[in-house]
Amino acid sequence: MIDIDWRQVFSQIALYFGAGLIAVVCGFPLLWMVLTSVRPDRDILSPAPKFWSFEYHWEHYRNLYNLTDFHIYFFNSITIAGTATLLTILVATLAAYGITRFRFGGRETIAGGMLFTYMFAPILIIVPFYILMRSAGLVNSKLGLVFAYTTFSLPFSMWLLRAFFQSIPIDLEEAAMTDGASRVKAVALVIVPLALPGVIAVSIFTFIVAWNDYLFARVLINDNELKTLPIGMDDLYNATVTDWGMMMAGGVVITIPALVFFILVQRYLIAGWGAGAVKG
Amino acid sequence: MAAIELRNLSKHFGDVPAVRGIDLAIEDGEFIVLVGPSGCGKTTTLRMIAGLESVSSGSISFDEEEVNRLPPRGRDIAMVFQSYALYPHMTVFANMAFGLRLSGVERAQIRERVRAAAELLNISELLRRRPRELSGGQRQRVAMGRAIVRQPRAFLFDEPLSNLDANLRAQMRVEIKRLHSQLRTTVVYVTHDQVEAMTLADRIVVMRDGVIVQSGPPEEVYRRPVDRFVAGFIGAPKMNFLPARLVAENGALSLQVGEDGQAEIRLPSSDALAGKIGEEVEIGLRPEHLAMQTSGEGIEPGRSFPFPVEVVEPLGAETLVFTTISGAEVVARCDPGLHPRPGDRFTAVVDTAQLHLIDPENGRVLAR
Amino acid sequence: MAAVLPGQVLAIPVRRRARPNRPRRLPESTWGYLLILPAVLLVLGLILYPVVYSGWLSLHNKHAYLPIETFVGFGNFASMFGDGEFWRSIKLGAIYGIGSVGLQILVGVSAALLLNETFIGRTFIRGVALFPYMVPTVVVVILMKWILNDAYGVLPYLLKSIGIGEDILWLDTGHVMLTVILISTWTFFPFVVIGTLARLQTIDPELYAAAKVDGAGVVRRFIHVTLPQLRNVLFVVILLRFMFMFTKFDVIWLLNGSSGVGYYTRTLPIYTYIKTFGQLQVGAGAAMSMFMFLMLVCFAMIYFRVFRRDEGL
Repeated sequence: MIDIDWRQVFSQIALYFGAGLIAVVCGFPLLWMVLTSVRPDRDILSPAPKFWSFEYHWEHYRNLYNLTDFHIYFFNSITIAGTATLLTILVATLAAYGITRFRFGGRETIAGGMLFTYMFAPILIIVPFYILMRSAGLVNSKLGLVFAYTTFSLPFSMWLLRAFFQSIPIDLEEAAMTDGASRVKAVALVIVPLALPGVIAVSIFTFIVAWNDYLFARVLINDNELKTLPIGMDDLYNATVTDWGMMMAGGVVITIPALVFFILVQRYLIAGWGAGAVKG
Repeated sequence: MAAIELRNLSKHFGDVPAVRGIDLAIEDGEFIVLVGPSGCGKTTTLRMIAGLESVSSGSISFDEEEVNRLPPRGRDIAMVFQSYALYPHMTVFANMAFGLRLSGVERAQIRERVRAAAELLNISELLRRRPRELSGGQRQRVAMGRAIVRQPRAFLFDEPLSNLDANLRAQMRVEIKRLHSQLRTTVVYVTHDQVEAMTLADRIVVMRDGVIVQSGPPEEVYRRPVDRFVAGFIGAPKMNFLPARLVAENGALSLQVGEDGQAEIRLPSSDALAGKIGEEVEIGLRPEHLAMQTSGEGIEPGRSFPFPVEVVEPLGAETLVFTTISGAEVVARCDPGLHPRPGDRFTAVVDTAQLHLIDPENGRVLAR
Repeated sequence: MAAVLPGQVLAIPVRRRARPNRPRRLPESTWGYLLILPAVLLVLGLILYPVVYSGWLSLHNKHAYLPIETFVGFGNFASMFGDGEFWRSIKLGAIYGIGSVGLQILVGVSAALLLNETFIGRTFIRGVALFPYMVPTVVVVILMKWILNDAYGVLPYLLKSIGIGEDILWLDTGHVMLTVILISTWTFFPFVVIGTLARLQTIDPELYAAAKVDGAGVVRRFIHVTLPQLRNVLFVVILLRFMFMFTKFDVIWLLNGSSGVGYYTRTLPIYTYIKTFGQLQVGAGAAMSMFMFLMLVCFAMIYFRVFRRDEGL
């Protein structure tokens, strides 16, 4: 007789059931979005949703491009998020390096202060921020948004990079310097390559903050030509009778860059966010 | 290659002094070992020579030229770190070539030099690997290779062998010595291991609390320590220290050992010790300067004391025997042929010429 | 020709490019300050200064566009505390915050425990579990409106087919708060998964082995080994999540805007926004911002105390 450990079997079944449930709950809405975006309207607008229908077309994507300014919004979002990401990497790397490698008064206070501002929500400061930007002439400009996103992702980015820099032994940098490198070269050739996972995690974080933001763009941008994807999409949704196929096509287009980025660097991201989530 | 001179060199971290005004002239091609317990300032001194640590006061010069304010790259030195500090993202070849690349050496020459260094260190077959694929000993070799390819003015070693096991350490000691005799580059080597200091150095510099206590060739430091600290630090097993009283009878000097003065050791008369007669002193005696005999017969008086064996440590070529005299542990090297066993009552014959007298007040070794 | 010995090769001096050896000039601390300067300037200028400015605004009666600006002292605060809508928005905010954080913790910790087990396809499922966090909020909201659509929505359809929720209008006044809580849970529970999973992976497996040897079953192992190890992380995550959810603006606003249904989800951030940009009462809006800010300071103080204790371990 074969001895079956029923508890073992049961727990295995429960495990795979749970895993399946997670996959369905997290994955199905996205799958449904993709399906809706490629289906003809008569399939979309059917009282009983069709699960097994294999008629696909790209009509909604074509409409999105031809009938709306979606491509303008897309371009705006890419340039703004890209610039904010580069700027954040630069500023946060300098700051995190300065804080980990140089002794100076008040550096712990500064690090703590950064962590504190990480908890700030944009809604807290949106009014004075708007007034500030208005007096600087940065309302209705991409630069204003770049500043907003850079500043808001800085605290977390610095915190994360600081942890990465701390994990790189100072010996390596000193070895490079005794090998004849200037400090700048030592950092560029030895430290930055080793902190790359951290830099990538920070860049993804910033990119997503900028890519997803609604409030700053809503308040700072009026011109249609300058709208980013989130407000463009929101306005599109509110403007007309909803064309669900086209809205879902838009959703897919907005989600893909974030998701692709995410899948490419998932490994670094989880390591980084894990550290950030526990400690930050 | 360079002669290095430290003049009244000091370093403070905030209010904490790490190095307190040391003077040291290192000759071109000399192998200097800085040795001392942790926190004695030896590593700080090395890092100041490297330019990794700024100088609080005093000066460092290479070939008469002051380098205090030069960054490391301006000093043309190579350093081997305790952690090896190999660049994890580069191959062994790239690690070794890094310094040459930075100084703009041509590709062909880089390749030639890295190959030569690799051959010298027996790591030619590792050149394509990355540091994480290497064993501790191999990493150590790569770290040395990275230093020697550049033919710097000086090699600086910061406890390079402390992460290796005992076997490898002994092997690498020999190899470092061989390299030095081939390359004849100035070496400043920091260690807390007195065996390394003894075996490698042309000159040992013993440091303590940020100052140099003694500097000289290994033999001299071993035979003529200036104080109790050096005497105890250099040599293994450690020197024995016994409390005693210096007495004079009819102009003849002798030492009374033990609480009741049951053992007496005669000393040749000495004017230098005249002022210490009747006072407590400490005897410093190396384990090899106590000869074990199974009986006290045939020994002239005033040269020995009883040695009841308490603990025995056979090491193969020799056996260490331990006892306690007036509360002080005493160890002696013993011929394994005597088959010592705990409980044996040996007689220890003292080599009085090698005996040191230490002033218990200040720890200085007294002149005789 | 005799072979060249390695030692001879190395004895040839390296020819070096002439290199200026500029002595170091700046002391270490100056470098440190210089490097953090850009970051500090940005944060001071664009986050902390606005907070201070907000405090100043809250003491004034200021119109959003018209040049009306009079000092009213604590007048804005007085009328805020006398405003029933303000208290209602706090109540709704608390419901939303507690509800969505509670669900996020429940779902997130369960998922993390599950994803910490070994099973085929774990890496894939771990990736999928983080998807919702990546989807831009505007997409989440519109997608959920589609999925919950009362005529064509797939979720109501599925629920009806198994006989529940026959006449639930998810996006109508009665259920909109529940819906927004569920949507927020879907979007933000991965944050809890990440934090918990990272901590779970650092638990020493020997602790479980020891508990097993002591005869502890699955439940006891969870209570006596896992839970104590998670305590600090959970505390921090709950605190952060609650703070983020209480000040959450975009999910709620995008779902309902200032529409009539939106009245049923008018939490403090939404009310602040409406006051400022809808009713153009900047001073009153700033007073509410300051209220949120002071709440945040309280939370931050608790957070830092725990955090310091955590680091000290």
